[in-house]
Amino acid sequence: MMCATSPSLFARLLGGVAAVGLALGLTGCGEEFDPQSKLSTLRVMAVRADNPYPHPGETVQLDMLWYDGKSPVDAQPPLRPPPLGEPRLPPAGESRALRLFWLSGCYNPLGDLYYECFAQLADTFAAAQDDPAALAQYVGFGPSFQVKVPDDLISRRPPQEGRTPYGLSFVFFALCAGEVLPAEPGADGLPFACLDSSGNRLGADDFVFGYFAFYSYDQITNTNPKVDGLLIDGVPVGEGDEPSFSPGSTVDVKVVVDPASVEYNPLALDASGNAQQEMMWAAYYASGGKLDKGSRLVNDATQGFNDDHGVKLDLPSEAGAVEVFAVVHDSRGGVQWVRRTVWVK
Amino acid sequence: MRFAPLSPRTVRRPLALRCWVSVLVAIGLASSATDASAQAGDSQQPPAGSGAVPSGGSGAAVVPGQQPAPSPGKPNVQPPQLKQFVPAAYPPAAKDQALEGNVVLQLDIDASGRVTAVTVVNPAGHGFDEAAADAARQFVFEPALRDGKPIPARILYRYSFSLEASKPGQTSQEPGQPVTGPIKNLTGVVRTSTGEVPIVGATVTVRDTTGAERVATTSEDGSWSFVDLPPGKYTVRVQSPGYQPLQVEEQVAGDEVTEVVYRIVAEGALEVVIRGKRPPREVTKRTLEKREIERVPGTAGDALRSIENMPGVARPPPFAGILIVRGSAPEDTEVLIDGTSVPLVYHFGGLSSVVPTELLSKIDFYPGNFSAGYGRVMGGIVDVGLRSPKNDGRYHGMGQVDLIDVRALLEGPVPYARGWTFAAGVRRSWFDTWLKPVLEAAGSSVTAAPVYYDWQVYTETQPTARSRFRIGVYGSDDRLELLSKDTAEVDPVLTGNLRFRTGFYRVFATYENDFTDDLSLYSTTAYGTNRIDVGLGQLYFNLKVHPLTNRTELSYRFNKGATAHLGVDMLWGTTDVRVVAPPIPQDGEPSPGPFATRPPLTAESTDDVYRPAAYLEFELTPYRRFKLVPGLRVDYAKDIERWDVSPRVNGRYVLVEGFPQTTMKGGLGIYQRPPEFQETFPPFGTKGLRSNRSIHYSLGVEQDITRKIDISVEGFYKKLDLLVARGPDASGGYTYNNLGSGYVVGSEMLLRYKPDDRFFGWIAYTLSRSMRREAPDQELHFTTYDQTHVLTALGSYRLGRGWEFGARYRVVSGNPYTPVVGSVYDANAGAYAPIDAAKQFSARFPLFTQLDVRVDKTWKYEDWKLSTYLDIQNVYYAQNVQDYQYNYNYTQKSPVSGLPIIPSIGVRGEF
Repeated sequence: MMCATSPSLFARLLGGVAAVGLALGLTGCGEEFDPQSKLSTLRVMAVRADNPYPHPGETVQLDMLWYDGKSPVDAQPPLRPPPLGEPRLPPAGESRALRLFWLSGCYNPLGDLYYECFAQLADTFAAAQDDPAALAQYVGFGPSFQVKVPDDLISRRPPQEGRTPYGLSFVFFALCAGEVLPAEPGADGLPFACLDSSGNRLGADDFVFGYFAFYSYDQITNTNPKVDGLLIDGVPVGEGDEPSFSPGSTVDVKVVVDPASVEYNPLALDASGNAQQEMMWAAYYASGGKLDKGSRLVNDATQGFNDDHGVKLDLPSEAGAVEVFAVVHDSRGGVQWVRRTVWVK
Repeated sequence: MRFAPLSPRTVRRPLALRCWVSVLVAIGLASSATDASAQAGDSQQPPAGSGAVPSGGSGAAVVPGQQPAPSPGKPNVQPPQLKQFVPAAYPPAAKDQALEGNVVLQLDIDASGRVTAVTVVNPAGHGFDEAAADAARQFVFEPALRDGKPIPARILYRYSFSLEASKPGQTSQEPGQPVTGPIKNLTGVVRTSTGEVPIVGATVTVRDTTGAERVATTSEDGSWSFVDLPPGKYTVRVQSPGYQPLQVEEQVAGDEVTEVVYRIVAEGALEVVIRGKRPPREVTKRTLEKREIERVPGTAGDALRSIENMPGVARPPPFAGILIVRGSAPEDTEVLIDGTSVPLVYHFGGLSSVVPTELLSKIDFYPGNFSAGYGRVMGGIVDVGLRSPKNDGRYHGMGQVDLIDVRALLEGPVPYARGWTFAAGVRRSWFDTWLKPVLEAAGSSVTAAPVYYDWQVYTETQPTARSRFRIGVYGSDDRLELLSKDTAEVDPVLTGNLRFRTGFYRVFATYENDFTDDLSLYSTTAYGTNRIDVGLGQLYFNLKVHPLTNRTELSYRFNKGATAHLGVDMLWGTTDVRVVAPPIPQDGEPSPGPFATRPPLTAESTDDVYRPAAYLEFELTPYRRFKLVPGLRVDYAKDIERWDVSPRVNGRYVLVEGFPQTTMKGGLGIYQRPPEFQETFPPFGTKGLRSNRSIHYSLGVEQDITRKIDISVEGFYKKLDLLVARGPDASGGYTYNNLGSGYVVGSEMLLRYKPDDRFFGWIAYTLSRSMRREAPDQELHFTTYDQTHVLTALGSYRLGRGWEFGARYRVVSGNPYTPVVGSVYDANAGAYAPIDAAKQFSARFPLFTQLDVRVDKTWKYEDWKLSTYLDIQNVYYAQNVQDYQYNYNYTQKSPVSGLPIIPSIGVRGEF
């Protein structure tokens, strides 16, 4: 083998990835940029499946956690589509009217690559364009969406040597502060765009396009992480509790994760052939102030649970409400989150 | 030459040499043996044909008429005396290259004084042997006498070819001329080991057996002499500042002249040959001396890094220890140590090379069209040779500390093992002492701070004058482990427990033998372990390989115009691999998005490796100015069950002989590289692949401008096909194929000022283009290694009093990259995936420029030397863009600059 005579490309790349990760983990990615944790624009923070590894034939409920940083009062206005022909007026308050829609129908794309879905979706919709009922199963609106996994999702995929048979489903979504309409491809090559009332194309601050993928296995299951709440300065903050702090103060924020919810991943075996633990990390977001770190390790596959996964929040000097979110991911697509409001007075 | 010659064949070797124009006489009587060893006077008789220098008595030239008085009771034996001397024709090629040499011949002389047989005992090559033998056959002697009767005899005759001597092979006196007046009976010149420069002001001291001394000083042309030395044995010592002292024994006859040329070696001299464009069967000439390698700014004296300054070699990314040769990927270039392939060249990907410069004797660098003796790669070859331990009966050592590591070296004779010498070196990094606190302050928990080691121990002997045996072990180890508690915004998989360990060792044995002038053997065998343990979080790659390699070559010279080299290049081994990782993205493919939540692929395998190869290559010189080297190599790879046949041919033609010489050269050949492990190993790869293939074309010219300056220009073209490429398939992975193709085209130029006592330097320029496509119906695109212009200008100047100053300036085109034009949110990972522009590598980073300087100061003491250096990279803080970094959703970007101003300082002591 080539590895006997020269460094394996594989090992070099993995080492390179590790080196990059080390560097990024140490220095942060562009200190001059707004961090991911700062919610000042229209943002999607997570999509959660009630069953991260649904079996073929099962139905999955998807829920989205999102926030509009440009709507300072109410972060989650209604997202139901208006009746056809009626103008889309913003609801009471200062929040913006938003459109959120879902699009399913991509299964087992080539190479498990999201961008290989586009051709498949085009074929699917071309075949169903004359049947609104058929189209309706693939399209949804609002913060939740249900998807039925095809019965033959696993069986219709060609087997891959050395790999447990599985199926893969992609669901796309778009969150837009305007209207999502077909358009000439822009620089990103997408054949649609988010347009404002004047027909202008809106950018990344007002439009989020993304995807959520879930795997299906015959035997393997997966559950979402269990989040028991949020600590601020070590004190549990329950739902509805809205503690106050002085302007400009710094508080410790830490999501409470049940270590027992860390599962073993039968697809990632260690050198002894035993299943490793899931990786788990917590991403923090705040609508005001500044977090010292955006994402922290909660559980390592080899080192185990890391209790030191909190962050510090420098509260703003202006009075007002600050929304704080903590999203816990595991490395198999499981998601859980917690949201709390704190006041600066 | 692949290895240091077994015996001093030419005076251009970097060893202390001497030659004297004198006749060594040893008598072996053909008819009777009992009294054959008796000789007039008190000289000793070496065995016939041994080539040994007789000591004592009248071992030098014998002046006619001065017959020693017979000892009473013993036969009166008189040696033959040269009556008719025939000068040898100086070989034109050697003369053009300013080569000198000594040839020791064994002459059989019959009772009539005619030479009946000539045998070359100590060859010098380069045509000297044939010229000396042709001349000697025409000698006429007064026959040897035993009790007044002519008898056949056998003598040793040393024929010296010297460009300074009035006539080669001739004493300063014509035979038969009487001696009158004071005689400078010991005289000579002192030159540098490179052969070009006389040493002025060197001290030459002769000491007789009573301890009495005389001292002379060399003049402007390096000459010296002693007048009317009494006959006897003398110890001659030559000393000059900046050079290793030379001590030799000379036998002086009272009324004869002994003329010698001493070549003294610069302190710690090492000859390193970079053969840029020549087939390896030719020796000359792109030579980098140790001084050059140690003094090139920006390389911290690392020999392998100095290769990056040669034409045809692209600039690697910072801290990336990769060699990009003529637009080829790093895995297309192989590095060998003493003919054995090694898996890693640099510690931690680029800090320093795994073999210290102090132990190297040569670096052969072939950027393309290399010999059939090398294979399994399509790019270039770097063949590094370990030098022989010093063999002057004393112990020598070195210790050095700089900002990164400490190293030590010891060499000398093996105690209680006569004829054996050894060298032992060790190096350890020490930046872990200060890096660990830095990492911990940044929030990481450091389990094992980054540290590297390398070590080398070997011993050597010469079983005969024409053979050498070496055995030893060398190895390298890098390791690092830390727990990163912060995840990266671009991909949360970049977090967790980072563990990194790479290492290897080899136990090796090398044997070389020049059986005769026409037949020689070289063989090296090595066994060891390669180990790679890399992991991040749940992902890891563990590989252990136990390779057994052998490279053996038998060379036979049929005649002056034809030599054959038959060899094998064998690789066996066992591999044990375990991997849990996602499919690796390849250059030019769209980003698949974050890996954080994608199920990794798992593979585990224990397998055998078997890759034998055989080759046959000829060196043909149909006429003097033309040399052709055709060869054929056949490889087999058990892992892909394929045979690769690679025919090759290189040639040189001297267009204009003499000085300034003009040489044309060219080559054509097929070069193949088997697929990488992950390309054929399920579930990552696809079985049934063929080797990648490249056809090399090159054409160039070398031109002497002055004695110190030459220039070489070469054009090259590499046609690439059967390249391993891949495409996504319905199973969720990738299917590999051999549909990729491409080309690399370019030209290289090297304008060089050869080193002298003050200055060395060169300008290297490469213009090239590297293109590739993944399938026949796809458009060609740049490769990630394409650098259109690479210009390097460097030089170093000795200011005197131990001070030396050097500088290197580089101008390099930016590497191509694919711009990011948008992003899509991956809700599984909570991170964004970049959307790349449709046209791959459609943009290029800005031009790269950098100035590095280096200052050295050396203090020489009687028995040791202390030196220190300051090496500053990027002196004027050029903020070269190496990459772009983006915010979390790729809507903002900022340039990532390369290295800031980096000073490096080191201190070394040697004895």
